[in-house]
Amino acid sequence: MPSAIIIDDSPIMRGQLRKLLVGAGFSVVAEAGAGDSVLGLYEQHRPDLVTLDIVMPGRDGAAAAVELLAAHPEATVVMCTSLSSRERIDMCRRAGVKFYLLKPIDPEYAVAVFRRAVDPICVGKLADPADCPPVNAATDEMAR
Amino acid sequence: MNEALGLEVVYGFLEAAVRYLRTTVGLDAVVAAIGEPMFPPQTIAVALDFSGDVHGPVTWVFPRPIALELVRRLMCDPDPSPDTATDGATELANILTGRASEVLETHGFKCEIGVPRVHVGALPGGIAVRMTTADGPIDIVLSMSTTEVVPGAA
Repeated sequence: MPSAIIIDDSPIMRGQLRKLLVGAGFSVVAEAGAGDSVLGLYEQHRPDLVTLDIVMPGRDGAAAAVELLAAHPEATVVMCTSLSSRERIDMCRRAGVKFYLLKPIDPEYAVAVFRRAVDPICVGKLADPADCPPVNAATDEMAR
Repeated sequence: MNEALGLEVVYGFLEAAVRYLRTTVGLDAVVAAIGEPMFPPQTIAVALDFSGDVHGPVTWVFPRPIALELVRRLMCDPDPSPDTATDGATELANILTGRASEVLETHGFKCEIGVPRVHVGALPGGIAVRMTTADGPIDIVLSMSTTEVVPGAA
């Protein structure tokens, strides 16, 4: 069973993401409400997937993604945020983030993205969208 | 030099808020009044601070039923605890502000959004907008101003 950690400062968003991840077949091994926790939790649990909000107390999720992927390029990060600016998306893409979900999260899309993010056929292939078509507009943006 | 947000930006922000209220909590909202800030009882006020080209807070005032509707939808819980209303209001304000801020970027403003915080006390000054919905009115106070004039900004 793949594992995941959830980083979001909103308790109800963590609750929604937990339900969706469990529904997608994941085991949620840790949760936190601040970007400062990401690197430590990743190194402790080595999850298959990390969901990251952007606007959080302390270090924001985009900066946390940059730090995490610089230290662990193999990490799979799904940004889950209400921020849709091209600048933010580009920053995350340059850091190595391959998936970007916009709130309000569409549950069916989210489950599809979570499964796809850890699918060995797709992992590492999103540089060529034809290999693994993205599942929504924001993720499509990441793949360009 | 600080300048008030242009009307085109304000209306764009409000249109986005209406759109995402529908997709987030299934509510059809109509702008009913623009005037002095109000703070009705049995509501929760949440503020988020912009920084950058646009700075200052936007404050959302939600009736508790709307805040709880978000919890109901996100948690798939038909009867959420009233204690979760503040979390619902906070996240709803976060989603609406984040998505509506797309309009600011469209108009050439680069800005960051701070962490949502519960607002206590009198509402700040600014452009106050009341939206009516089936679950009660939503009040929005746009207290932001722009730091510099950006080409294309109204």
